[in-house]
Amino acid sequence: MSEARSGRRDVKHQRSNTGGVFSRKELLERLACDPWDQDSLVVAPLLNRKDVLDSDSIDLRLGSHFLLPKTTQKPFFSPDESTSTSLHMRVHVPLGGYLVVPAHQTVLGSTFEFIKLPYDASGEILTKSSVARTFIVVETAPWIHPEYRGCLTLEIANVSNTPVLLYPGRTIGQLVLLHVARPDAPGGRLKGSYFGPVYPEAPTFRNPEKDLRAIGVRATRILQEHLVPRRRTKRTQ
Amino acid sequence: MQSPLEALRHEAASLYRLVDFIATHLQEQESTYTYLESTKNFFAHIRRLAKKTEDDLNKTVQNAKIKPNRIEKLYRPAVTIFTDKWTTLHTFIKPATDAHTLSIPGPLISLAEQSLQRIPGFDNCTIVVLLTPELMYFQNTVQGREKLPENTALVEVPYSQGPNFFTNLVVFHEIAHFVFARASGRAFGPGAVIKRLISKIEAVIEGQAGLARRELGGKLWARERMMAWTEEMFCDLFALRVVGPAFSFAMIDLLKLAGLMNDRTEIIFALDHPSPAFRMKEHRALLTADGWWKEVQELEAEHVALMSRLAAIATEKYRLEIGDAPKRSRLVTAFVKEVMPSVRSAVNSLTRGSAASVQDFVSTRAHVQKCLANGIVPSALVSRPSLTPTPFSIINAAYCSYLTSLPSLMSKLLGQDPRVIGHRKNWTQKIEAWTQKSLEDFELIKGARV
Repeated sequence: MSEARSGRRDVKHQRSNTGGVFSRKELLERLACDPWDQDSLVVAPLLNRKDVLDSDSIDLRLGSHFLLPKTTQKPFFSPDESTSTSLHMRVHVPLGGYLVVPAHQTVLGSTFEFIKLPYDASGEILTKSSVARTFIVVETAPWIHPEYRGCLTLEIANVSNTPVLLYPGRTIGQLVLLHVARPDAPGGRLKGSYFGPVYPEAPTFRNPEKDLRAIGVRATRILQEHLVPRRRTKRTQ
Repeated sequence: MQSPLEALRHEAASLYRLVDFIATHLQEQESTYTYLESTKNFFAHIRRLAKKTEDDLNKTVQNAKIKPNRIEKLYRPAVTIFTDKWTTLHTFIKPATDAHTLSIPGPLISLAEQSLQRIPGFDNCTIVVLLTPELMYFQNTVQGREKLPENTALVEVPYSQGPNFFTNLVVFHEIAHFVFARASGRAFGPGAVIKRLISKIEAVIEGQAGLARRELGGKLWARERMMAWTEEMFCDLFALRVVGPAFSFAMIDLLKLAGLMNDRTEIIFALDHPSPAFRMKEHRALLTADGWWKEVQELEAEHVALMSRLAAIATEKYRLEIGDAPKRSRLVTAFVKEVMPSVRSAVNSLTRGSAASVQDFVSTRAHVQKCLANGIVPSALVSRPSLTPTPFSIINAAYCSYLTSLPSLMSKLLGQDPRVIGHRKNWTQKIEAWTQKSLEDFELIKGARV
């Protein structure tokens, strides 16, 4: 019998008895499943397995691609369909290099590892304590839904008063899995947005009037860039 | 009236300014973007050339002040030589600085470089990508003349295709051009193989009775055609051997995108390229001989059907681009029947150590495709050492998925409709990104503690 099959059998056997946070044993069992199995946990590549697996979490590394805030010529940023990517500048820092995050700035990075969660588990990503103690805060939206797959986009904020270096490939966060009490049946259609990214992704928005119409708002004021009133200057003579 | 010395200073200062701009431009680009190691080395070489040119210009002007009678005969011609050199170099710099790691598939280029370095005598060779405005791939051959590093393949990639993964498999064909050109000048190793090939062409041309030496369609003209076709077929088969069937699929996609493969042009032998029909016939034959064809012939993709249809076209149907005088048709037949066996044998002997393994593909393909069909990177398979695919197995399996399984992948996702081509484009990019990520991961895993 293959390792994968035996792993899967154990998982099914234990599922009804478990609750709360996944233990190292459960994490290992889920990692041993076939990647495409509904029960499987994928963390690819899982480098230095002994070092990154804790009793109830897996350390995740920082990826090589970043989105930095762009200084634009536009007077404002409107989160809608047309402008969602105008706020970011893509940067690649290869393994062995570093990114300088200036004081009080936030960048978008991603995990080096590609994650796939089981259908019956949610995930949470936490800043590694050693990283947090350098006043780097990872994630303001740390919840990961069951069956998610992709490299996780991380909001990385430097809240210190000094620039901090980030080295791709070093551990930056911890992934904790939690059992979902009564999960949806596996195999349903997954949400297409944010599915399977391998780089940090800029947000996607619908136009505000579309979102608001869905809750019954009939008219939405849209501020268009070319309609921003110019300040009039008085002639002195 | 300006003195000759002053005119020389003016001319030298203009060139100095150009060279200085290029050096500064390189510095700015390198501080903004990340480049592959080979490109960084190329830039370092250009910066050294720039420094040397600046020093030489200073010396030239100083010497001219001491010996003004030599200005017209010695010093101005010297500046002209420097200018000519930089006029050519100028055309490479911008395409090379555009080719940073955000605009090209770095892991694929690194893989191509590793394949190149496995050929005997090419172990120190590198690849520098240039993004070109042409919608075609080229291997630039001016390096010897312009004092660029002799071991550097300058591969021009269409800028619109730069970030794509699959189309850029055509880069392997361009690398083969570099191998052909570099080996042609050497008597040993790969050089001897190419030399034998060229001797065969000479013999075939000499044997063509009725070809006059100088007329259009004569022997000199025929030799040029044969040489060009031979090199193209060598490059196709070389790339096919190294990559596998994904190279044929990429070639078909590119030729169609560039408008070079349609009912009207498919049987036409151009002056410098064999007909697409003949190329695909040879692709199919090599894939069959190597055991690949039976693995991909059942794919429900137009590419496979097209290759079969083109392979069935008889040699007699091929036509030359310009007219079709009987003696020129005989040339095509002579190329197909007499030269091609030598091309196949040359490719066989040069790719012995670098051919993609069909056995590995067969044993890992299903797993790679299952990963991709479920939106998972194939490097997830690393936990099963027995199922760990080689990079080329991943590439071939991923191309098969791209050709046949996009609708199935998209059907698993809310709001994604395979009939909407914008959606298909997005998921093509995702499959390419997963494939590329897997190559990166496996490269890292090779040297890491797993």
